[in-house]
Amino acid sequence: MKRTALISMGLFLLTTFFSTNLKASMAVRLDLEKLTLRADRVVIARMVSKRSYWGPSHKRILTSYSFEVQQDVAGSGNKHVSVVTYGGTVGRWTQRANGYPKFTDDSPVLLFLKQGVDSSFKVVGLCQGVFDFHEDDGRVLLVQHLEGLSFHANHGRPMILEKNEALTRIKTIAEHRRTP
Amino acid sequence: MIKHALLSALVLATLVLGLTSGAQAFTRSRDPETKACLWWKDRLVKVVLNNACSQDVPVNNCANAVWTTLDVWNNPTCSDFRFVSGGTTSRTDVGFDQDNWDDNINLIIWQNEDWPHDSSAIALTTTTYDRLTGEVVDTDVEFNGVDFTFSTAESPDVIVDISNTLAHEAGHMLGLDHSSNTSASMYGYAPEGETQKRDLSQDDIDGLCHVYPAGLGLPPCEGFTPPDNNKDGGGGCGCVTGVQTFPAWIGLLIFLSFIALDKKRRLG
Repeated sequence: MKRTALISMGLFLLTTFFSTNLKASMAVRLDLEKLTLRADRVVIARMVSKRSYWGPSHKRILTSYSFEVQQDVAGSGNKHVSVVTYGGTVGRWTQRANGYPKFTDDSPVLLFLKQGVDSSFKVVGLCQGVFDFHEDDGRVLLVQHLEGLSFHANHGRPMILEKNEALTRIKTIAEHRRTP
Repeated sequence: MIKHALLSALVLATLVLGLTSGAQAFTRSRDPETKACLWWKDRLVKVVLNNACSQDVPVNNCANAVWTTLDVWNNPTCSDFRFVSGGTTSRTDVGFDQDNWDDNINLIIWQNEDWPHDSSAIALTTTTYDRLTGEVVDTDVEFNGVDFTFSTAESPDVIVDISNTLAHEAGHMLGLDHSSNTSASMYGYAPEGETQKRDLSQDDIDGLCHVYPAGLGLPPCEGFTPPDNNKDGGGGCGCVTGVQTFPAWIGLLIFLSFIALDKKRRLG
């Protein structure tokens, strides 16, 4: 009982900590089902490189991240995927496209990906489709990124899910989508 | 015993933090790496509206909602920051052209045909700034006219209220981040049909006037040292982050949980 209470308290504090870091763009909340249904591929991956550049209009900065896939959760494909986001830094200029995820290290993340027009992917729901891994009292938790987003309707606290349960749910939702 | 003391200290600290945060909850936007606070050198920021505006309401009502909302941020007399109307334009280009500096505009646009971002996004602000000083050089707000229906004060039903949404985004345009004050326009959450953010709260006004005080320079930016070669340009960007948000009710909840646990243990 005490252990459960302490875990709950830990989770609560974790949620609060992550939810204090929010910024600008306004969006609607996507739950796990919507994230999965909108994704072409759900993977656990780690970033291996990134490159920011001025896009074709020379007015928008884009960042291309290269990810090494460690596990396919739903869908399948190449072992390396390219994820493109708006925003980034080129020289002295930083362009912040609020709500887009930013990846800064090679820690593994759970990604909900939508195929772009070329071979690259976009993250579903802006940064809503990115989850970090955290250990809490022997359990592995998935903690959602919500940086840069404010929400229209529903509360905006990040989802925190037990890893194995979440992965099973994602697989089930994806299977149901395939089966008419 | 030690555990008890530690927990009590934690609860007390939380309560104190939570209670004091109510007094100053506004926060400045910062570069996540350099920690530079975002600020405009020129306090008269010209904004241009794409002439298509929203297709969900008459164009005059839409334009009126936009300019009226920006004016809300112009009203506090304690600040000399002003959004200045640059009229309307047929231009649709979002972003910043570093090679044609004078050609850049701060654009508000409804993307009615092709929304380039995720369909869950209602509005998205893109801000370009010098990462070393935090000086903002361009800011644009895009509204998702493809996936959402917008409304104004004249509309029979409030759906996504233009003024409510823009008042919030405009705060970001001038360099404010989210506030923990639930009545603030800069609070991070907006229930569907909400119109409360149309008007600034005292916390929003405090944030605006802290960063751009009338007749005064920028206040120092805590935790950030501007590079020497930018001293003359007001490089010491203004930023004192409001006391970080950690509401008192969280502390209270932890405290009550702790009491309940303790009581249960004594009983059984």
